[in-house]
Amino acid sequence: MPWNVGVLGAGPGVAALHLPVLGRLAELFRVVHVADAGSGRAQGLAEQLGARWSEGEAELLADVEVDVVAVCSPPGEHGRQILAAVAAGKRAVFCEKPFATSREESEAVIAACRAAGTILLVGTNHLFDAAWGRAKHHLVALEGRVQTLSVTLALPPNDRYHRLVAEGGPFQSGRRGRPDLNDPAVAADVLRQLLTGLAIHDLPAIRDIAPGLDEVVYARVAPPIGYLVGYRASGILVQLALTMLPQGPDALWRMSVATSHDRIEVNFPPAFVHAGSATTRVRSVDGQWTEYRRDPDDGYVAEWRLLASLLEGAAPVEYDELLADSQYAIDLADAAAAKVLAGVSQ
Amino acid sequence: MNPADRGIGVCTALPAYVAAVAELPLSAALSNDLSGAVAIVPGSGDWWQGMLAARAGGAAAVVIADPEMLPREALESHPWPADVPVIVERPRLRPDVVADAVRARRGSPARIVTVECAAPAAGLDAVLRDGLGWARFLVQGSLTFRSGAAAAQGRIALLDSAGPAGGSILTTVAGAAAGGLHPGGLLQLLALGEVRTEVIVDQPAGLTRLETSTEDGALRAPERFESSARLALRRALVACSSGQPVTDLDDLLEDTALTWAIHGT
Repeated sequence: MPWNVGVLGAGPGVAALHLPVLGRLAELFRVVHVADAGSGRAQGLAEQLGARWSEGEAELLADVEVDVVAVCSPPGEHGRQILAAVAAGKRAVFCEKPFATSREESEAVIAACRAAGTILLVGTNHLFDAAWGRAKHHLVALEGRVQTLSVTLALPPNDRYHRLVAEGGPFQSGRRGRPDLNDPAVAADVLRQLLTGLAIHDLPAIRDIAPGLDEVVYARVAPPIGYLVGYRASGILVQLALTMLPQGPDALWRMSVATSHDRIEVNFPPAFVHAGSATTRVRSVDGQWTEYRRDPDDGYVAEWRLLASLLEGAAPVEYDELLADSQYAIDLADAAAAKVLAGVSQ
Repeated sequence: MNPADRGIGVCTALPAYVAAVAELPLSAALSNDLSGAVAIVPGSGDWWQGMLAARAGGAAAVVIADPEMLPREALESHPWPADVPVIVERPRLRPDVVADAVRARRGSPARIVTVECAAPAAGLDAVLRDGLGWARFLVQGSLTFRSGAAAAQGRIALLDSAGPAGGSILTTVAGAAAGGLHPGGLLQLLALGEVRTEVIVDQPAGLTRLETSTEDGALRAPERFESSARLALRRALVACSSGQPVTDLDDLLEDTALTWAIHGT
C-alpha cells in the first residue's frame, strides 16, 4: 500500500515538481491532501488527484489519513511546520531545503524529530543523484587528495522548465523590485538567501568532501542577481559561482572537484525537468577523459524513493548528518553575509 | 631563386619553427644572420635574456616560443623593449582561437568568468597566467586582483574588471597542482552570461575546444589545424612588413604580474 502524503504548499515547486514526481512513484506514495496558505491553488491541484484540500496547515495535520507531510512552503515556514507535524504525530516529514534558517531552529527540529522518532528527509536532490554518488565513490576509492572544489551555476528563469512539466502559469512569482545591491545590508541579505536557497542544493555534497568551515576568503553579490563566494574548508579551497540570467542558454549546474590525480566534473540537469541523473566526466592527469552515462532516475525521484526506504525501516534516518548539513549552510551564509557587510571583500 | 625572393630570414633551431619555415616557403627562409631577421627565442630558462640579445643583434622581430613563467625579479627589474615587435607564442592562448571566441559572443558581455587550471606544480603558474589572459580577452579589459587564498596544493582568487554601463565583471580563478608528467596541464574557462563561452585547453590530451552557447543551442568552433608555431611566425612576418604595433609582450607581462599577485596570497 502506498504511503499517504499531505502537501503543505501549492506553489510551482509542488505543481511542477513534487506532484509529477509522486505520480511517477504511485506504487510508493499517494497524495491525499494539499493545503495552501490562502492562494486558493490547493483546490485545483488536489481536485485533479482526487485529494482533499484546505487552507492553512491545521486541517492537513489533523487529517488522520496523512502519513507523510511534505513541507513545500516558503523557507521561513519550514522549521515551524516540521515541529507542528511532529507534534501532530505524523510518521514522516519530507522538507524542501532548507529545513531551518538558524542554528537554533535546526537544533530544535532535529531534537524534536529524534525524540519522537519522526522520519525526516530534506530535499537536497543533488545529494541523492546517482551521479554524485558515483563521483563520491570515485573520490573515496582512489583516495585522491582534493585540492579545489567548485560549483558553478548559470540559470535562465525557471519558467522555461516549469512549462515543460506543468500547464497554466505564469509560474514565476510576482516580480519584486530589483534589490539595491549597492546597499551592503541588502546585498548581504540577498547573498544569505541565495546561499541557503540555491547553493544549498550542493552544500551537503561539498560538506562530504570539505566538512570544516575554516574561513570565507571572499564574498560578492554579482548583478543582476548572483554571487561569487570563495572559502576554505578542511584545508580545501571551495568556490561557488551563480548568475541568474533573464535569458540565455540552458541551465549550467556543474560541480568540479580537482584532486591530485584527476578532475571530476558532475553536470546536473536543469531543475524541475526529468532528464535523468547528472552526467559525470573524469579527466585524468594524462589527458584521458571518461564520460559516464546518465541514470534514468534523477535526484528528485531518488530522494522520494529514499523516503520510502526510511518508512519501511530499510535505512536509518541520519539526524546528525541532517543537522550538520543545515548548520554548515547556515554558518557559511552567515559568514559570507558578514563579509559583504564588513566590506572586506570590496 | 633570387635570395631576396626567399622571404624574410628566420633564425631558429627549434624543430617546430624549422617546420613552420618549411610551411611558409614564400614568406620565410632559414637564416643564420640575426640582422633584419625574425629571431625565435625558446621560452625555457631565462628567455628574456635571449630576447634582449636578439634585439641587440639587430633582429627585425622576435618570437618567444611558449615562454615559461617569468620570475618576479625579472618582471620587476627589466626594461622591456618597445622598439622591436615581440610576438609571444602561447599555445594555450592562440590568437586565432581567442578571436573565434570573442567574435562568437557578438558583443554580449560576460557577467562572470571562471578560470580553472590543473597542472603539475612546476607548470601551474604558466597555465594560470594563460587562463588570466583568456579572461582578459573575454572581459575585454584589464583585470584587478581583489582577494585570494592558497592551500597546500591549490589557490583561488577573485578579480574584477570594468564592465559595461559602469558595472564590473567578476572573475574567479582556481588552480590545483596535479600529478602527471606533461607540464602543459588543463585550462578550463567559462564566460557566463546571455551568451556562454566554454574553453577547454588540455595539452596532455592534445585538445582545444571552444563552444559558444545561446538560447538557440551550442556552436563548437572548428579545430585550428595550423601549428601554433606557424601562426606565431606568420604574425611576426606581418609585424615586420606592416609596422603595426604588437601588444603580445605587454599582455604577457600584465598576465604574469597578475599571476604573481595571486601567487602572493
